[in-house]
Order: sequence, then structure tokens, then C-alpha cells
Amino acid sequence: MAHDHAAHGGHHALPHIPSEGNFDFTNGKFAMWLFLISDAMAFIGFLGAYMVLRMTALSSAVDGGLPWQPTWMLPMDLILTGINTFVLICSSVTMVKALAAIQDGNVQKLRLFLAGTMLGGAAFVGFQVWEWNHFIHAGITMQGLVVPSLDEAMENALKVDQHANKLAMAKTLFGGRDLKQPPEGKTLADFESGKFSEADYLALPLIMVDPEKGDKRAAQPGVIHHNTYAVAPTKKQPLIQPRELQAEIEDAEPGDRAAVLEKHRSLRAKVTSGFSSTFFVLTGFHGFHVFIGVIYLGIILLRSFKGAYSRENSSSVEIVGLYWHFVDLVWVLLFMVIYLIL
Amino acid sequence: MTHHDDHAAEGHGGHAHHPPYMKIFAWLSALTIIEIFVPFVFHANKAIAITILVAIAIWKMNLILRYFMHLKFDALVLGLIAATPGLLALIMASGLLMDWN
Amino acid sequence: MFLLEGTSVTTDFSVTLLPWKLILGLAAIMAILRFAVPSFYRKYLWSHDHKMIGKQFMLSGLLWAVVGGALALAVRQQLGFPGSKVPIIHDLMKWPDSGMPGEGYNVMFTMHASIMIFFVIIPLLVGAFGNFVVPLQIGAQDMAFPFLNALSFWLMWPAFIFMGCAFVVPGDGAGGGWTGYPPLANMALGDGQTLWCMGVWFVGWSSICGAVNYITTIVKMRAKGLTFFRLPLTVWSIFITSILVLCATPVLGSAVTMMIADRTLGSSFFVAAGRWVGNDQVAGGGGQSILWQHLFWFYSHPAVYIMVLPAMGMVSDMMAAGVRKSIFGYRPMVYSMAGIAFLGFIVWGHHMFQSGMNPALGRTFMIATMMIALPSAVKTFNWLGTLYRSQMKFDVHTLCALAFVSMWIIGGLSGIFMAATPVDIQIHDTYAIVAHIHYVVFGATLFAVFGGIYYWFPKMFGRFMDKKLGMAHFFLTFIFFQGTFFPMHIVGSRGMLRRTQDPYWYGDLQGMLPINKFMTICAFLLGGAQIILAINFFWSMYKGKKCEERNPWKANSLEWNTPTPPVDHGNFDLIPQVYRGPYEYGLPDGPTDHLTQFDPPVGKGDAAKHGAPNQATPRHA
Repeated sequence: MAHDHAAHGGHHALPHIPSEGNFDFTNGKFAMWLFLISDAMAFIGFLGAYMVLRMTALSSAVDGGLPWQPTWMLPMDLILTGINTFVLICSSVTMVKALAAIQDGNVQKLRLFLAGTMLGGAAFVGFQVWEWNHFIHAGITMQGLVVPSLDEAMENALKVDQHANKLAMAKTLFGGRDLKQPPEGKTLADFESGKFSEADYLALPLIMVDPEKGDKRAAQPGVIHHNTYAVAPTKKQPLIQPRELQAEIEDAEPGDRAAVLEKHRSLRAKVTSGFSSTFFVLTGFHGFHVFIGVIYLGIILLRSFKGAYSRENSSSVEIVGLYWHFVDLVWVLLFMVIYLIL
Repeated sequence: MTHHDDHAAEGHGGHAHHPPYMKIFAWLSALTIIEIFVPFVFHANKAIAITILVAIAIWKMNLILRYFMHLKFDALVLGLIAATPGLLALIMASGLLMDWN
Repeated sequence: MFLLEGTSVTTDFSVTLLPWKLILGLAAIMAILRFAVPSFYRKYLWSHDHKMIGKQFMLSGLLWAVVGGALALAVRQQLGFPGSKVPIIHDLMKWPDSGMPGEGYNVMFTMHASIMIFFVIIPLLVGAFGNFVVPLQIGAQDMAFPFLNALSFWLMWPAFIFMGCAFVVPGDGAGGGWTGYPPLANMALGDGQTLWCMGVWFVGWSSICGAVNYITTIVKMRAKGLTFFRLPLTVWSIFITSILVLCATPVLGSAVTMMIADRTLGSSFFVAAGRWVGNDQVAGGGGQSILWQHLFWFYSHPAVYIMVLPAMGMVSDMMAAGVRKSIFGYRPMVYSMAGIAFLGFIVWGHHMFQSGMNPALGRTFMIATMMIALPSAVKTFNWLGTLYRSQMKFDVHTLCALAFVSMWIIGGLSGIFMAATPVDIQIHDTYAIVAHIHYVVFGATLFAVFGGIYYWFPKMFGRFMDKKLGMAHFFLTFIFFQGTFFPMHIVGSRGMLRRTQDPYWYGDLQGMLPINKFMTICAFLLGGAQIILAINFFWSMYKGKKCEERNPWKANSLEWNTPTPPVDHGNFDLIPQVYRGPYEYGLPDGPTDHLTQFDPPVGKGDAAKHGAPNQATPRHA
């Protein structure tokens, strides 16, 4: 703001020149802050999408969609991610320690702590890569979720809910089927007590539901109707439409249906999912930031060996620190919204 | 006022005053551990769990911003810059929430 | 996201590699030039000098304006003379003999808007004038980060290449409208739409690099004595615009990233569950089509102010110098710009009244939108107050400033109509909207750009532009602009839809063919009038009347303290000291009628001493 000191400057020939151009931060630090708010807005865009898709996940289930994280999906490992979060916090502390070291003029300690920060960041990215890999192998990809076999689904569901019911799970995965016509060698009681296989259940005739006629069964959240998954097109493999897949299963002989479904699985037929889309984009975008941060830290570390930093010249270390803490800050938010709010 | 000033005033001999980094580290770690238990403890009541989680996350972000990113010791204008995305996030979130609820 | 047979979501990478190859080729050419002609390369290509970068932005902006204008004429020709062959474009696009197909029409209006907004208006305002004028007006020798500045221009080139390739890849090209709404844009269009998304993404990066640079420069590098409230309004407007760019553009970036993921990786951000396309239901779900509209307009509503605020600042400077009068209400001008910028973030939903959005939200956005009329009216009345009883000198840039204000009033008033939800239900997606946006973006902003060119040309190139040609250009443009766009209000409120290849297919629109013919003829003449500008621009660059003095317009701000044109790298002989605000015009006594910001104080009565920088005070002998 304009300070008018003219009244005090009686002995000056010229009126006092108000000047405010010298805030005591460097251009680089200011620009990094500006870049960070810009970056924050990009994350806010993704988080807004996450919020909307998550809020609407249940209501879209009415139209044949899925709940946000179906119980048959591989659950996320909270403890491992918690440890990973701790690693990132540690790397933040080594970063501020590095800055403190160079502000005290200790270049040796600066290098040590910078290397520690890089190590933490690399470990974090490494874990993320492992987690992505784990998910993709379990059938969770950006395109959606591969429908698991009944046994896999039960295994996953039991991890989050000890009372998961096999018959209910089968209903969720393969639609409501008529238990009054059990296949040979099975009884109604077998189904109710969970002593049946996927093939047994698929051999039952499908109860056709018609939402147009107000059939409420169509509106059960979490039920995968067969017309909701498809085989994504690739260069070698044309798109297979949901209705074709459904027809293939239901048209097969009751005993062969499980084999047909297995074929679909081998083609990685998927149901699309807002969860998997946002999970990969959010963690990918953040992981990319960590990756860039490690490279950035590496450049600073290299320059420290050339004697670029000293007690009087520590601004660059402070700037890389700002970036690094921002990445940590974003992870606090992502860790909460993706992993903790179940 | 800033720690730069502090250490300029101290000259070249002694060590500069640094914010209590290890104390903040302890706080962040403790809050993270508490965070992980929240979804299990308040499994039945989602609203309480989310409220507690959001409060802890804001607390953690506040610690990082004020101490690790030095906003507590820096010019006010940087704090205002840092607050802008928060304001815009609130605006966007209220628009989106109103549309889908 | 899974689709009908025939429309593939998996991008054919052999096609989409084309722009990457071109970008690599460009980089290779740059690398060769770097070693073959190093001085040329340093001076004209990879220049770090803000004045050269400003000129680069201006040249690229004007060249793309030719492309965007040609596309607009193609659209107009189809509407005025349906089924006729558009010269040149028809052959380039390999359309059938039966005339422009619907897909081709979609590409025409999509690319017209995208090019005009992303490659012409924003780069011209922020890139060209922002770069050239800001460091000069704040008394800095260059921008804070010259390298970042060069980067922000060269990041436009991938965008140019991607958008250009969108025309040539197989498929229908980018036909989703500049708004790129799903499900059309993420489910039905070919590779061109993906390239369009990539182009937008790179433009966003360029804008953010520029914005960081402008804000840092303005905050940190002002000359001694140049307090915030002594800044010329151009600098203020670029400052506020840069804040908008910084906060809004990344949101578009993330939205476009999600769109690209939807199109190429098969995610389902914007694909609603249970939606039917053709005869098939989309599998799975979780996506929301309207989410795109929210995110897009969260950027693009602030973006319309990005497209007009710098013009407001430039017009204020040109007007004050042209009418020899202090800007009426300098501080309210600044506050109202800041107010417009803030309100710009809470009104995005007024583009979505018809989207099926929650009606309660519609009402909120309606009221917020109408509030924008307040700061806008403050600005308008301040300009009128500046003009009132002024000593106007009819230079071309003054006339352009007048055109800006009057067109801003017309475009602003129609904007208030559209802000009202009930009215918007009637005129949504009609030519009334097209009229509104063109009154604001062409009538207001582009006239300010023309004015800026005439005003700063002597400082840029050391020569004047020809005044007679300038007058001819101005008046012809103004007249044919009205002829082209005013009737759009009429046909729009009568119900003529925009983005319709052949509106006369609807029986009740058939009567509108004659008025459309009239508009089309005016549009062609409007395009023709720009040839005068092109001739004037390039002729004056080499043969125009030499500008011998530093301050040809007798204006006040610091750029007129530099040599004409300023030397490369380093603008000022000596960084000037600033003693007062930039609008001390019309002083009653003394050798000149104005006091520049760098004139030393002249005595007890000088405004500088009173800390009242913007009121002209009589000078004591």
C-alpha cells in the first residue's frame, strides 16, 4: 500500500518515493507458490470428479451400475498404505532438515538429508507401482473391474465382512436365479448353506427382470446384470457387446455356462467403475508428482556437489522443499479420501 | 520476523533458529496412526468417521503448511496465495454438492 | 467405456503419432537452426526478450485469426447459401460434391471457436500485449523469468500442431463444439477429438507458464515509486487476468485429462451408467456427463473474463490518452475488475441452465450472474464519465476504445437477459447466444486488440500505422460487424438454433434465409475489411512514417519513456523513478497538458505529494 511519508521528509528536496517492490521473498519462491496453487487447482478438479462419481455411485447402481467398492473387489490394504504414508512424512522431515542444514551452512548434512528425501520418495513411488501391479493382476484396471470367480469374490468379501453370504454373493455376481429348479445332485438346502460352486449356480435358470414394468429386483444396488459388462476392444480383439456376452451365457447349456463365463474372463470382460477410473488417475497424478519431485531433488543434490549452495544461498533448497511438502500435503488429502473414507 | 532475519541477526557463528521440526513430525505421525484406526472404530457411523477424518486431515495440512512450508514465518501474501485454492475448492464443492443432492 | 461397433474408443496410435512426429520434427529444425544461424535463432526464435516474445505471440495470433476467420466464413456461407461449395476449404476437407456435410459443419464451428479463443484472443491479449506492455509499463528491463516466457510461447506450438492435425486425421475431426460436451465428445467422435483435447492441454500449460511469470513480474519488479495504485490499468488487468488463468486453467487441464483417459484408456469419468447410444446400453457405470460441464465451465466462465479483462485495461489506457482526460474513478476501476474476477468463479452454472442441473442451483447462479452487472456497470459508467466533456482526439485507437465501450454495453445487456433462467430457457443454444458472445468477444475484445495494435505499433516497430487506412479499416469493420452480428439477436430470439448445419430443414425457420444471406454477405465484407489491416500492418512495419519521438501519443505511462523502439534486452536507459499515477491528463496550465509518471515533481501542488495519484491537479508555475 502507498505509504505517504512526505510529511516526515522535510529536508528532502524531492517528495518521498513510496516503494513496495521488495517483498522479502525471492522471485523463484513466489513463482513456486503460484505454481503450487495452480497445481492444487488441478488436484481439486480431479477431487471434484472423485466426489461426484462417488456420491452418485449408489444411485447409478439402480441403472445397472456398481457400488463404489463392491465387496467382491480386492480390498485396499490400509496398513501398508499407512506405512507408505509414514514414509512420505519421514521424507518431508528429512527435507526440512536439509533446509535447516544448509541454513546453518552444513553442506554435508544437506546432501545426506537430500539423499534421504529422495530415498523416501522413491520408496513411496515403488510401493505405488507395486500396488497398481497388485490391483491390475486382481482385475482392477482403469477400464473397470474384471468380474471375479465366485470363490475369489468370497475370499475378497470375507476380508471386509466376516458374515458374507455365498448365495447372496452369487446373486450379486450372476443375477437372481430360480432356486426351485436346482441341477441334478444339488438341493435347495445345499444352495442355502453355501455348498455349491459357480457352475452349479450358473446352471440355474435366470429370473428375468424387467425394470420397465416396475420390477423392483432390478433396482437392487450391487447386482451386476449380465448386460453390464463387456470385453473392451483392442487391436486384436473387437468389442464384444454386453448383450452378446449375456446371450452367450444364457444360450449355452446349463452345464456349460461356467465355461463360457471363464472364456469371458480370459478375455478380461469388465464392468466399468468410477472407483477404478478415479483411483488410477488420482494416485497416478500424485505418483507422477512424487516422481518429478525425486528428479528435482536429484538435480538439487547434484548441484550441491558443485558447491551451489551455502548459508547465504539456500533459496533453491527452500523452493524444492515447497514443492516436496506440497506433494506430501496432497497425499494427506488423497490418503483420506481414497483409503480412509470407506 | 522471519527465520532469515533471525539468522542474519545472529551473524555467521551460531546456528539459526529452526521451527520445531521433530515435534511436528511426531504430531503428523501420531495423527496418521489415529487416522488409520478411525474407519475401524467408527465403522457403524459413517458421518462421525468422515467428520473426524476431515478434521484430522485439515489439522495435518495446517501443520505442514505452517511449519514445513514456513507460512507461519513468511509474508502474509504467501498465506493468502495458499488459501486461494481452499476457497475455490469450497466454491466448486458447494456447486457440485448442490447439483447432486 | 464400451461402444457400438464402428466407433472405436481405442485410438489408432499410428494416426495419433502424426502430431508427435511433427513436434519432434519442429524440435529438430529448432536444434539445427540453433547451430546453423545462432544469432537469428537467439533473436527471432528462441528469444528471451519479452518484446520479441510479444511480437511472436502477436504474429502467430494474427495468422491463426486468418484461419479462424476462414472457418467462420465457411460456417456463414453454409448458413447463407446452404449446399454451396466453400472455396478452398471444400477441396482441402475433401467434402462430397453435394456440399458441406453435417460432420464438416461441426468441425468448422468447433475449430472456429477453439482457434479464435485458444490461439487468437487469449494469446493476443495476454501473450502479445501482456508480454510487450507489462514490463515496459512497470519499468522493468524484462520479465521475471525470461526462459519461462519463451517456453510459454513455444508450448503453443504443440497445441498448434495438435489442433492442426485434428483436421487431417481420418474420421470426422473435432466436432464436439469448443465446449466438447460428452457423451458426443467422448463416445462418438474420432481421433480428431483426442487431438483437440491434447491441443487444449498444451494451451493450458502455455497460459499457466505465462500467468506465473506475469504475477511474479508485477509483484516483484515494479520500478521505484510505482505502487500498486499507481499501476496503469493495463497492468492491473493483466495481473487480475493472470490470477484467473492460474486458478481456473488447471481445472480445465484435469477435465481434459479425464476426457483423454475416457477416449483412449477406457475409463468412465463422463460416461453415465445405463445411457443408451444407438441401440446399445453402455456397460457398467459410475460416470457423469454433466460433471464435464461443471468442470469445463469452472474454467471457461473465468476464461470469458480472461478474454475481456485485458481488453478493458488496454481500452482504459488508450481512452485516457486519446481523450486527454484522467480516467474517472481509477480505484473503482481496479476494484470492479477484481470483483468481476471473483464473481467469475461463482457463476459457471449459468451456462448449464438447460443441462438438467438442480433448479435451486440454477437460481443461485442466476443471482450471482446478475451481480456481475454491478462491477461491469461501474466500469462502463466510469468510461462514460471519462468521455464526458473530454477533448477527444480522433485517432484510430481512440475510436477503437469507443467501439469497445459501446459494443460492451450491447453485449453486456444481452448477457443480463441470458442470466435470467426463464429467458435462457427460450434462447438457450440459439443465435441470440452467438450474437452475445460475438458482441463481447469480437465487438469488444477484438476492437480493443485492433486499438492496441494501432496504439503500441510505434513503440513496437518504430513506425506509425497509416491513419487513413486505419480509419477505413475501423469504419468498415464496425459497420459490417453490426451487419453480421446484430441480426443474430433477431433470428435467435425467433428460435434459430446454433450449431445446426441446415436450419431451413425446420419449416418455421425457412423464412430466415434472406436475413441469413444478408448476414453472410456482411460477414464476407467484414473479413475483406481485415485485408486492409493486414496491408497496413505489414506495409507500415517497413514503410510507415517513422516515429521520431519517444512519446508520440503524449501518454503518461512508463513505456513512453523508452527509446522507440526499445533496444533488445534492456528497455530503459535508466530505470525511471515514478512520482504519480498514470492518468494525469488535461492539466490546465503548463507547457504540456499532461504529466507523465516519470516527470520529476514540479512543485508543492503536485499530486505525488498528496498521495492522491489519480486526480489531475493544477500545476503551479
